[in-house]
Parts: sequence; structure tokens; C-alpha cells
Amino acid sequence: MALLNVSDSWIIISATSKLFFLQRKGKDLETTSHKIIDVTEVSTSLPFVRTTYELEENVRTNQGEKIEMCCSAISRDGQLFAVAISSKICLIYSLSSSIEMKRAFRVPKAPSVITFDPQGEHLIVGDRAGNVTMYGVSEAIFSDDKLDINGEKTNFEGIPLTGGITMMLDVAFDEIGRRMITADRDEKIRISRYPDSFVIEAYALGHEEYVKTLAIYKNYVISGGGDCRVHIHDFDTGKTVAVSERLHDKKPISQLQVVENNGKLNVWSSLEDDSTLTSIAFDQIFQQAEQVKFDAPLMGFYVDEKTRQIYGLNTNGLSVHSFDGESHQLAIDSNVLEAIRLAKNPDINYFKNVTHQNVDEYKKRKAAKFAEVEAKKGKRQQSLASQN
Amino acid sequence: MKENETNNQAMDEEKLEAAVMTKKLPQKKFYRQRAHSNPHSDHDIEYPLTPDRMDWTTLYGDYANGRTVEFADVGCGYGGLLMQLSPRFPETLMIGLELRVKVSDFVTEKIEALRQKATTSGDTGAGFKNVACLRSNAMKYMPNYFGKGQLTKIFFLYPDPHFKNRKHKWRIVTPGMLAEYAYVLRPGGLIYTMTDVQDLHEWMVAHLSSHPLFERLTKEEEDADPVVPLLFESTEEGQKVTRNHGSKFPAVFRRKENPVEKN
Repeated sequence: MALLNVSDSWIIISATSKLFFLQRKGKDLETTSHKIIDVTEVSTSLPFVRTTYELEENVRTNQGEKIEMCCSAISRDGQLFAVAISSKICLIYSLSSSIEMKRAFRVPKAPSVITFDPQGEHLIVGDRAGNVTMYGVSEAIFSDDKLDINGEKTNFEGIPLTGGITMMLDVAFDEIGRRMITADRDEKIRISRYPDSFVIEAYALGHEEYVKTLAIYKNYVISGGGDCRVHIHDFDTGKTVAVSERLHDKKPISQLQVVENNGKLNVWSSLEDDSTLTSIAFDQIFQQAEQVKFDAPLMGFYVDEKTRQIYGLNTNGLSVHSFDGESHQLAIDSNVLEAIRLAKNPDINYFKNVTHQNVDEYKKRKAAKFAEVEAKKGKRQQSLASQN
Repeated sequence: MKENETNNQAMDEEKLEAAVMTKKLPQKKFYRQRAHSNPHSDHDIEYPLTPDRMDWTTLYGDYANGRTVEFADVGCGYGGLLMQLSPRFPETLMIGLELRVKVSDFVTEKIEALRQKATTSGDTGAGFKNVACLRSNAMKYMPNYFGKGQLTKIFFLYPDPHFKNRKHKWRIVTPGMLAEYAYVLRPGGLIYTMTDVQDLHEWMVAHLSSHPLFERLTKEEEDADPVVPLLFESTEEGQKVTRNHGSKFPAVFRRKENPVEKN
């Protein structure tokens, strides 16, 4: 997967095993002063964490494994960058004048989303097993009992926050970091206290398919995913405030960003495998949608309200559209372009794959079986009658 | 001989009539099922998008009007506990949640038969109109059915012990799942657990005790609870354990109030 993160001073593109850091100065990009980091070395040298039920001689290695990027994040103050890679490792970099790796650590399950808490003290990782865990930004932290969210002893670092039988798809925080909002493959959005996440304050339900992406704006939780509609929920109760029209007849919403425009909420969204970016203003009700077209399906986007620019990442590279309608392609290193093109999308279908215990089939089987039983009974009675 | 035959015939007709009048109790031999079903799979479960959209009258008829479900028997099996609770709490709606299609169908058929029997026998209580069974996955969809603090009792009787370490995440009581149960359970509400596996009992007690939102009932409180004796013999599993002279380990926990948030 190719990932895009933008802060005031940096544009970061993550693809295959490489991280590209491009310095940004206002509207302009200093493409000459960029930095490339390959994470392969860290991935192969970082020691494994032994699971509690694993045999000692069962030593694993990441040698030769093809690395893909899973998810990435920039802290609110723009000082930290984190990325999770397919060999189940999270890396944290500090983004001062020079870029330095602060930490790298292993996580037990494949990460599906990472984000920094608003305080910038912890990295929050959601995984494909449905768990959300809190990790230290400057050092490893552990829970007192060293138990994971399933109540099992673990050798991995981190403090478990929430767990469920599902797949975690996004994690977001309110402005002051008192609430953690999580989205999963089972159409659910959970609003928990943070860090006391054992108290669930509300569920924001109503999505007809999985929830892939979240954004918070004032007293709203905004969400999108498999049902192709933008949902707005009340932050405290989780109740639905508004649901948009379908943005597409089948393409799911892949990413959301909220921007304040003249004091009003504006929701930007991209669709899976689609080159159009949609913007819908919301003021009591959803307004007419507006669209920005890119030249290839978007892998990621970022809307900068300050510079009035929209960045879009696709296989043609990085392009910038200004709010006034101008657009141009940014000149980027050929290595970056190659990595973006080589990056593989994870082969995950978030839609449900229902094959188990089909109720209709069961009812048919049941009807057939009872008909058989009745028929046998009838025959037996007939033969009894004829004997008599 | 001739007279006998007429008698038999008369009896058969009577039986037939009775069978037509009241639905027959389902026979367990037609509803045998493997001991568990994988809660992690994508089952084709129909569940409401939100609790508001759940039409409980499809399960309880008019009896659902003006009442909300307050007891949930998670993994209710063949529904033994629900049948015992029904006449004791006639004003309370209670639901059995069972993942196995065949078993939940058995319970539904049984409830239907008991309701009809109650009607014909002139039952003046709830007449089993307060019980129902849903085929669902409680580990995934509790918040789809129940609102915040809606339930007053949740039962976990003889849950799958999942002995292997690797399968502990499948256990019904884990720190992660307890947050969800605490959400649907009203402060003061109770969680009842019962198992014949000591290891699982200790696991459940350890995790419920260390969870900030639960506290164990004292021995006196437990003894005073009229529901506790039902945990022993009401279910098929419980009777099986008795037949095999196994031990039984009950435990009851109260949902505490949420801690006050620091500003």
C-alpha cells in the first residue's frame, strides 16, 4: 500500500519498504531536499517477541520477507511520524530539522490503523484481530498484570485498550483526548473513555456495511465505509444526525477528512479505486456535493485549508489542486514513483463473507427431514393397519 | 379385539386433535448439534442496525409492548434456565442468545409449544410469552440489540471452556468483552456465571474481579439471590454434570457505577 501523510513542514510518502520525506515550505515543495529511509534493516534486525505458548527453538526471521506499508500517522503537533509495516513492526520517527528514528517495536497482530493520541504521548495501534493497544512514544510501557485484552499473559509491550471479535479499521480522538472513537468491520463505531477505555460511553450505529474511516468535528463523529454514505453522529449519544446520499452505487468510501470552511463543516472523501474526490458541506443538512478529478485512482489525499491546496497520491505521483481550480503534478524522485507503482494493496475484502450455517438452507433441510419422518410414520401406520 | 381397536382409534384421534390444538413439544433427538460454533466466523445473522430498529413484537407478540428485554442468557443452549425464569419473573422480558442455528430453532419451537399449552391450560401468568430465543452472536452484536444499561441480568452458564491457550480469546469472558457487557448492563445489574470446569471458573472470577466495573457478590448476597439455585439444575448441561458427579462453580458479579471522570 502507498500511504500519504502531510504536515505543515513535511510530505511523507510510504511505499514498499521505503519512506520518503519531502520538506514543505508553505505552498512550495523542496523536492531537492528529500530524505529516503528503507525500513528493511530494522525489520530484519529487530528481535522477535516470543509468544507465551511458543517453543524456544521455534525461532522466526523476517529475512527476505517482502515488506509492505500498512498504516501511518503524524502527531497533532507535526513533530512525530509513525508507520506500521507488514512484518508487524511499528516505527516512530521524530520530524525536527533532521529525521531520526525514535523507536521500533513489534506488535502481536497485523496493524490496520495507527494514530497518536492528542497528547502526543502514546501511539495507538488497532489491528486485524479487533484489538486496540496503547504504546509509549519514548519508551516501552506495560500493563501491571502483563495481560493482553483477551486476558492472556503476553511478552509484548503495550497497554490494551479495547478488544472485540472484529477487525479494527480506524481510531480517532476528540480534541482534548478524553474520548477514543473506534470503527470496525461490524458496522460499529464505539465511543470509549480514554485512557479508561473499559467505560464505553456510546455506540454510533446505523452503517449498513463496515466502517472504514472516521473524523471528528466539534460535537460530531463523521464516518464512511462500505455503504458509500457519509454518516454524521452525535458525539455524546452516538445517535445519527444525518446520512448523505450514496457517493457511488458500489465503491466504498476509503478515506475522510473534515475541514472547516467559513465556520462550516466540509467533508472530503475518496472512494476505493476511484480518481474522484468529493466534498460535501454540512450545515444542518448535507449540501450539494462538489468533485475534484485526479488522473488516476487515489491512494491517499490531504486537504490543507491553510494553503487552500489538495494533495492527491496515485500511480502517476503526487498532484496538487488548488481550491481555485488550478492543478499541477509535483516533480518527485523516480525511486518514489517506482515504489508507489510497486506497492501492493492488501488483499482484504472488508465485506462479509457469509458461508456458515445459512438459516434458509437449515430451514429447507429441516422441512425435508420432518417430511421424511412423517412419511416413515405414515408407512409404519399403514403397514400396521394392513397387518391387523 | 374389535373393541380395543376402536379404543385405539379413538385415542389416536384424541391425540391428533390435541396435537392440532396445541403444538407438540419439539423432540431433542431431531435437534442434536455439535458443542460449539465459531464466534469469529461471518455467520449469516440477521441483526438490527440499531436497538431502536429491533421489533421485539416478532418474538414476544403484544407482550413486548410497554416492556423491554432485561435478562439475557448468553449461549442459552436448549433454554432450560429461561423456562425456569419465565414463571418467576412474569413481568420481565428475557432473551436467550444462541449461535447454533439448530439449537436456537429448538428453543423457539419449545417456547411456542409451551405458550400454546399455557393458553389451553388457562395459565394466568406470563404463559411463556416473556421468553424468546434469538439466533445470534453475543460476542459481536449485543450493542445492536440492547441500549446502554438496558439489561439487569446476564447469564453465562456452562460456556465453552476453550482449554487451549490459543483459544482463550474465544472465551466469553475476557477483559475486552467485559467492557461490552458492562455497556448493556445497568449499574446494579448482575452477571451470573456457572461452569463445571474449575480452570474456567477461576479465569472468569479473576477477570470479572479485576475489572473496574464489576464486583463479586458476597457469599450472603449470593445465598439470598433466588436465581442462584436455578443455575445448578435448570439447564441440560447442569443436569449432565450432576449425572457425571461433576463439580459446579457458580459466581455472581454486580455492575458498579462508572467511575467519576477527572477533569
